[in-house]
Amino acid sequence: MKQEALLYFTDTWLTLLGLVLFFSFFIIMLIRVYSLKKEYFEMMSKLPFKELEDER
Amino acid sequence: MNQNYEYFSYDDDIVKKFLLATMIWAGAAFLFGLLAALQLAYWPLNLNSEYLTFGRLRPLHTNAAIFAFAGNAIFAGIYYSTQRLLKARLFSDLLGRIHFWGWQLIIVAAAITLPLGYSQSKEYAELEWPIDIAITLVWVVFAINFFGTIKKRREKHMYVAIWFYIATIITVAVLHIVNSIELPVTFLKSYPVYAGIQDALVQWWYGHNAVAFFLTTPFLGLMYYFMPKIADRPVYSYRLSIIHFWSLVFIYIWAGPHHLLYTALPDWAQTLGMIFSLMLWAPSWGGMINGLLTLRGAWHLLRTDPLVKFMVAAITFYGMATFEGPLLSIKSVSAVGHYTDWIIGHVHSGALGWNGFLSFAMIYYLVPKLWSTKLYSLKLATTHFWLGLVGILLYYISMVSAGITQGLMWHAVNENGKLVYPDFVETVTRIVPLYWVRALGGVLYLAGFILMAYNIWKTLKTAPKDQKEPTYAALKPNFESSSGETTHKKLEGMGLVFSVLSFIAIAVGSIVEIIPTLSLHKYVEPARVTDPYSALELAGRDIYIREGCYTCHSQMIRKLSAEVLRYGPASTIEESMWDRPFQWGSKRTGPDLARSGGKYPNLWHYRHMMDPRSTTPGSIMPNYPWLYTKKTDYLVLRKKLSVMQSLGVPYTDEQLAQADLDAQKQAMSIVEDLKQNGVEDPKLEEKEIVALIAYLQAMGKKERAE
Amino acid sequence: MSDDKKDIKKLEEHFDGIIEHDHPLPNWWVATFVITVVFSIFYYGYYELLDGPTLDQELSVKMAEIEQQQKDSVGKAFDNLDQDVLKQEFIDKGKVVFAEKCFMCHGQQGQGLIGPNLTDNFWIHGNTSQNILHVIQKGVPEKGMVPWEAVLSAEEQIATVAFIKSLKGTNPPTPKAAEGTEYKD
Repeated sequence: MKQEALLYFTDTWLTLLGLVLFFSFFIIMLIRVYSLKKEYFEMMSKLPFKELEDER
Repeated sequence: MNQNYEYFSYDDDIVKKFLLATMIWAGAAFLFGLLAALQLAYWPLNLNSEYLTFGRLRPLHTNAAIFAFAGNAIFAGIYYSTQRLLKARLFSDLLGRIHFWGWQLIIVAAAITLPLGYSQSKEYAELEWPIDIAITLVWVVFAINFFGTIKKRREKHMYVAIWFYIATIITVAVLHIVNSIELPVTFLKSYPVYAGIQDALVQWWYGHNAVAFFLTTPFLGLMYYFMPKIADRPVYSYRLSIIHFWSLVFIYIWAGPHHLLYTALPDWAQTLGMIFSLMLWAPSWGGMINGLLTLRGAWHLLRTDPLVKFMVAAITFYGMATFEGPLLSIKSVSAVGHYTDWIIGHVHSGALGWNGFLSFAMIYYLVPKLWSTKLYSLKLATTHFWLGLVGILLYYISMVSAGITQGLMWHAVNENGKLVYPDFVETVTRIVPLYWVRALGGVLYLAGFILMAYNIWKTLKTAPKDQKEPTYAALKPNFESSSGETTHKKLEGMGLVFSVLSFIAIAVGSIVEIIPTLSLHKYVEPARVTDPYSALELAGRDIYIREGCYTCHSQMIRKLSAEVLRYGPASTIEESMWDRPFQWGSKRTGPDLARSGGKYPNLWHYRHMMDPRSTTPGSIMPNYPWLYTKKTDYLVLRKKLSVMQSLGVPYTDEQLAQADLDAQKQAMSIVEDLKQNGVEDPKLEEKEIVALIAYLQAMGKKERAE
Repeated sequence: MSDDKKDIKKLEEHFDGIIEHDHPLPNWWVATFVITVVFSIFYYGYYELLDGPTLDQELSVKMAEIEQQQKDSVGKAFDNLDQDVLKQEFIDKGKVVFAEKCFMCHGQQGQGLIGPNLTDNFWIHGNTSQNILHVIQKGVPEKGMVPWEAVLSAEEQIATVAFIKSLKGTNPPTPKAAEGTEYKD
């Protein structure tokens, strides 16, 4: 079975590399997201409301 | 006047332009869709007209819905929200106009060429090469304008909506360019560089991600801006938005092969397509949760505010569609659902529910704001909502029942090992009543839209005559803050970093899936030889492509027992190795044609194309009378063969030199046979029907053992 | 910086005192994500790296099963062919089948159209019930006659033979010219 799959696909390393990249990227992203402060998220989520008309 | 502030205005005129264009093209897209739906319920509505026949109308409908309606809505929303989120006027007013008029021109070009039959027959990428180039150029203009605005922004932080826009711009560019690499034959005819399985994989990598990055990520961006604005409260969880953004962008790009389950595509690629589709479920729902829970503590708005109704319904449909998608990607579910109307129902819950309703909410929100007036009637908007909702539900329920019914009928095998419904047409006539229900759903949806058009028109009439661009204020970008120059660099750099990261995210999946198939020889067994099409067969194939036969007929017998019983041995990679473009198809309104060659005599095809009901009572296929009057272009065949040769198809120089003569000879032999059987038409050998018959008789007959 | 603070302050006033905290990710959502990822790893491993069957293997197992069923079901059905084709019930049934499946090529009354005339004494592949049954079952692919074995049940096949035999000598208008050998019986 394994041989049959590999017969058609000699670039196994490519898939593996892709998956490794994919998961390590996720881990890094998760670490970063959880290291950010609550105030940052609050500030960001309110960005769309930071609209100031001309006050002159 | 505060010294720390800068004062500026936004380019809202461009937003207005795109909004009005959205309204106009939405009407066109819905009308085309309704006509197509009615044609399936009642075939005479094909009107015996070559320009309005289903095979040409369906691409017109999908292109209008995706690129004209959704496209203009996206551009309007992006230009509006980006300027406000970044506290900066658009990078260039002129580029904005070039973008606008260029895009409308492309749409008009599509609306002219598709009915005329200029089509590549690759789904959602039907437009011919000059238009492909125009799309690329306009997209680059859009990108320059967008990234230019990021560069001159006054707001340091980039809100999550902006990330979704960045991912959209980058990915759509990559998808469009890679999928559109083709070699021109004439001004409006080209052959793709990919053939057979490569073309299938690249096309569905494109097709699936067109849904992902044209109909999902930009609309999620719009949701992240407009949902909080409409509900007047910040998004539920910003942290969730970051996580689901990156997981979505990363995973989406891999899922394309779920359109090719059980086909000749190698197993490993199919399995990748399936598992990545499954993994997409949670990231997609991250967006839904964030959108819906933004309303927390304000659910009462759902009762009173039609805009909130539209938004919530849109997000709910998004949730439904992104649950159904992974479900349909499971191999055994796909076995029943693929090629049926279930898929049509699935995409319309997304298109009508998610894209349509979200765009409507956005338009209802923006028009009064931009024209500084009030919406003419909230009541009408509410009526629009209910009409639209019932329309979608009728559409969805009828199509899912039709799809599952037909899918099960196709696969029903009795205890004697025979198909229970061996006659394909029997499975079609069974679901025709449901096609009427679907059309009724379409009528309701369109009726709702007409109310909206009236409402918007009335609103515009109440708008003050002199429209001034209001001035806004924002803090000057604070370059001298604690970290000094580095902050400035960061400010400039973030856009770039995001773009590069998004690009990497989509590149990984693309490379892993596409690169291996680019070397086709790996998959082709040397013991099997497939002869390229003869010149006449190629001419016939291009007629098949022109008429959009792929919209109703597949050419891919899947590795499923019921399909083998019905159509013959499962299709192989070798059989379509010279097919440019591949025509595996995605829908079987009619039967699969992969092995139709030799199944019926020439006379059968001659009569069938003239009036399908003369050979297949109950058929809903249109008549093709023009094939009996139009002449085959024999002279262009040398050029066609030579382009094919330069793409690697093993035609000899001799075959090239006498392509037209060979074709005429083959045509004569078919005509002889038809004449013997009583067909009387003095110049028959010149007519397109003969070329088409040659192709239909060649299908599945080109492969031989060495 | 003070102006920035002022903006934020304004925003908070705008939200009418609702201070938003960053909401945690719903647990069920995280669980769904983790489960699909873990499932996917095992699924890919089983089917593509370990002993999972390929699609071709699954298909050939299924086809072997079906072929066995087909073999088992044939056999007895055609034992009384020669007697059955004379029965009126079969002829009536065959008329229905003919009107659905055959008339397109052989004409409404069997007078011949794309396919040969079935009402005369001339037969290309023989005139016995067995001969006709064989043509119906296997078709004549090189001339465009479709094999009906998979489409028609055994009973329908017998009925069709019965109806065709009943057509002999009906002399419909505009018959197709005779083809094949003449059989006088």
